[in-house]
Amino acid sequence: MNPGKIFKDGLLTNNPVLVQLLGMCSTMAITTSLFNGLGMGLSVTVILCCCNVCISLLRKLIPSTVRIAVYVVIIAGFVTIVDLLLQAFLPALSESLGVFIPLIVVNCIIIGRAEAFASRHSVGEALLDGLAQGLGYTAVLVIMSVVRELLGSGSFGAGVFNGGKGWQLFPAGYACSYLTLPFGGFMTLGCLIALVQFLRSKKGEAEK
Amino acid sequence: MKLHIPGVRIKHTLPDVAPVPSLTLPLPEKLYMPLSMHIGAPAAPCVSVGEQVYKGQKIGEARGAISAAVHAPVSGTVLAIEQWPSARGGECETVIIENDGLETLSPDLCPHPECENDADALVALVRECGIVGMGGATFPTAAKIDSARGKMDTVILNGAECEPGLASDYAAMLERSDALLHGIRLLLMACGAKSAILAIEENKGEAISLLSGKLPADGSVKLQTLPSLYPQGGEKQLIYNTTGREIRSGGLPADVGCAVFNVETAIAVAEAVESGMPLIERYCTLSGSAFAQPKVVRVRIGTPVRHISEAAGGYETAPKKIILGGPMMGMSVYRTDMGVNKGSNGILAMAESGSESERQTSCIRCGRCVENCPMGLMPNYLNLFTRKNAAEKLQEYHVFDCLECGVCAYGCPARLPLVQQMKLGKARLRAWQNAEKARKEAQK
Amino acid sequence: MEDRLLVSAPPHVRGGDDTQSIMLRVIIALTPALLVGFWRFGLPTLMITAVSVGSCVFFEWGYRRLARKSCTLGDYSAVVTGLLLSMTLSPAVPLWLPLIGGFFAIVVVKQLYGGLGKNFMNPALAARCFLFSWAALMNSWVSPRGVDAVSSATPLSVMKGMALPAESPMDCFLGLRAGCIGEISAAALLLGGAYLLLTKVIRPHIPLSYLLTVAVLTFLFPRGNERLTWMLYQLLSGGLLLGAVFMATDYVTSPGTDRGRVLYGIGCGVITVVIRYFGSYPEGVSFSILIMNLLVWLLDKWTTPRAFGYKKEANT
Repeated sequence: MNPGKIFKDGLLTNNPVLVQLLGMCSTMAITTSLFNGLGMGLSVTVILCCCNVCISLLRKLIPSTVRIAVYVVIIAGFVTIVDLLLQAFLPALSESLGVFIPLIVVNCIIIGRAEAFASRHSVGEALLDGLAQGLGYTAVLVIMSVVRELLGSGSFGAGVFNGGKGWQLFPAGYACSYLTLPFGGFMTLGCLIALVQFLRSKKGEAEK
Repeated sequence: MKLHIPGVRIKHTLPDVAPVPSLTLPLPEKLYMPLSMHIGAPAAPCVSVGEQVYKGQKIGEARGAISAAVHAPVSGTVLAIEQWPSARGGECETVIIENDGLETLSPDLCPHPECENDADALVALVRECGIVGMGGATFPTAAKIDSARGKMDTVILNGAECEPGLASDYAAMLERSDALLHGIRLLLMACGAKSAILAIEENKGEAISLLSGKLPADGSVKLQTLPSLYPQGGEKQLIYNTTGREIRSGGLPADVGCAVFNVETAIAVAEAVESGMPLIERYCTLSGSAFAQPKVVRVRIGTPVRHISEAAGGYETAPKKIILGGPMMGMSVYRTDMGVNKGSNGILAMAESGSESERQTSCIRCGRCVENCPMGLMPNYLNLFTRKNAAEKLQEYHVFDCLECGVCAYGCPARLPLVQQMKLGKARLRAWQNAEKARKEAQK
Repeated sequence: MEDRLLVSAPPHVRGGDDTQSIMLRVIIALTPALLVGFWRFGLPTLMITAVSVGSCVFFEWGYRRLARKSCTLGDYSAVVTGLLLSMTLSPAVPLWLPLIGGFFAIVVVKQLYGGLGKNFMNPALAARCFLFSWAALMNSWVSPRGVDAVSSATPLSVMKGMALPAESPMDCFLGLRAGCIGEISAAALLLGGAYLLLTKVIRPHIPLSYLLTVAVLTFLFPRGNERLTWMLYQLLSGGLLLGAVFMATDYVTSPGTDRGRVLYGIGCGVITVVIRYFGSYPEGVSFSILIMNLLVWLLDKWTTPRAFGYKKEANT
């Protein structure tokens, strides 16, 4: 499989969130600021790459009847590593993401890729796929976080840029605080999915 | 639980028609006698082209039990027997008669006093005289009596006028009250029923006062005044509103011991017995904004629509739309050279184009159709299910029980074509049922 | 003389009401309450109403145009939404708030679901609740002219503290109290409601069952000793009348059967009282109506009328 297609799939045409509609729970829950979104996205990318490689290596050894359990064990191992690393080196992020880091264990994107891709492809391809899917997930998280952070609290990049302060673009009193609630997550994600579907249908028409 | 049968007071552009005296029009030169102007098989022509026919002579023979004979309404010559536009839509085999103006009666016609007390003879006579339900449904009367004989206790006479703005029943009740009461007696005898209910809408005051004075002393005929709502003249609604009996879905009036006859049908039965004259004439209402004045005329069956409107004084303004029947269920026609038939109770000529020009919005869920539906259906949801082609839902919400009376569409603020949607819904449900049946058979 | 006849499907006559005339009558019915608002709160309310109506109309036009759909401004439903939205706002809100409200009501709640008749929530109320995102702005009240106070609590927020408000019931009836632009005068709202009832735009089921439920519950469970006064204040304060007469009766988001309408009204009443008594907001009308909006399809299903000819036999 050529690397270009794997990346295009992960970022757009088969984006885990916008097209496969996987991992929606964390997507809606943590995208309240760029800090959270970026942190979560990169964590998942790292775990996804490691898991994909590991599962691809073991794919001939894992008996198919117990494969899901084996996947979960492997994923849980990597998640624990990442969780502990975050606690050690980025305590603020770990605090902010809270339970959603451990919950990556049951994130459908990772199990989904393990089942649908890593268990059927070579190690190199699996690594690329993990990277592409992870970046696709991160991209969506970043877009949603930027929108929700900007409209919901009037700031940009708090915790990331400008020495951790970010920029307050307009007073928080004017911001639509509802957008930082789950309701805002649903709305933003809905609009984003609609946009992607619209573009895909446009492209489909053009190809016809 | 007592069911509330709603109905609507139709505020129509049609003025109330003063029913009497009805006009008798000069006869046309050519009459077009469709051989299919009743429910059931078309009649078979029993005259040939060029043959001399007499007024009242049979020109079409009933084919089978559900069919009706057709008779010449005037004396003259048979010009042609060919396909011709029909007032029921489409074309049908039609006997075209050239009127000789002599009104020579058929020698076969004679009074039938033997039918007064002989149900079998009366049914045979009714069949021979081609009498059908004259409220518009045109179901052969003999077949109706046959199917209901002995099973019923009440005969209901429908003087409720099947549609708003028509006055044919009103005129018939006023001008032929004696024949009507004679007809009721004959129908009671033929059906073996004990009592008759003469149901008249409250806006026909003259008929109510005239007939209430003439009812037979033995109390076998009761007069019942009904509110003038539409669709009061519908068979199921009429039976429910007069007797409180509810016909089950898919059932017949005979199931609840009733039979419904239009008042003009009863008059036709009486005339057949009194003079032997078959059904060749009826009352017809001319109304609508294109006419200077609405009126009721007495017309021979087969008279072309155009002749009727011209002979009755013509139009005041050029009509944009001509409707055979009433404003709610009538059929708009694109030509006017077809003959009126046994069910033609009205000719409406509209000077304005009417509902089509109005703007349609999407359904605003106001629920008026649900409030007004005389069958207790939910037209708003049926409309939705039809659009979504949800056949099982259409079945669950009883689309087949829709009368297509048009009350929902009349009151719809969004101006949705609800009646057409109901028809489409029925077709879709039928298609689905057939497909399901085929699928189940294929599985076996 | 009869050439070119028009052929069309029956029925050939139609009743008088159409969507446009119904919406116009709602606008007429809203006018008295709006006028009282203008009179009590002055020019700002006029501006708020203008921005609210203007933004609703603009977004309706803009969205339909962008989506290449037919223009639906002619049915006046956007105007009605704009008026209703402005009537549920405090007279102290900045002008950009109704602008955002108009966008949310028309584009998100109404048009994204397919436009008139397809929305499952009342657009004006949903927009009002969305605007609570700016809670501080939505909950700043000004006192009506003629009452000596700079800023004033609404009778409902006083009653949240289990005390009776300072205004007399008559003041609440006439509109001499703090509150949203369109809700302060019970008299004007009732006048509008009477007009809607008389012109048969609405049926009495929803407003009556809603108000009666609130009346019964507040009478049975008063806070304080004066049952009747407490009930009266509960009925006259907040957005109850505005909600019961104009919001809950919105065709699109209320049941289509009479029995359904009664249940819907009762549901609204119960939820309103529960929120007023136990919720963190002093007012529960908007939320109760929105919650019941979500049940409308179920209510329609449960209260489907018995069709003619489907009588249950006595022995089954």
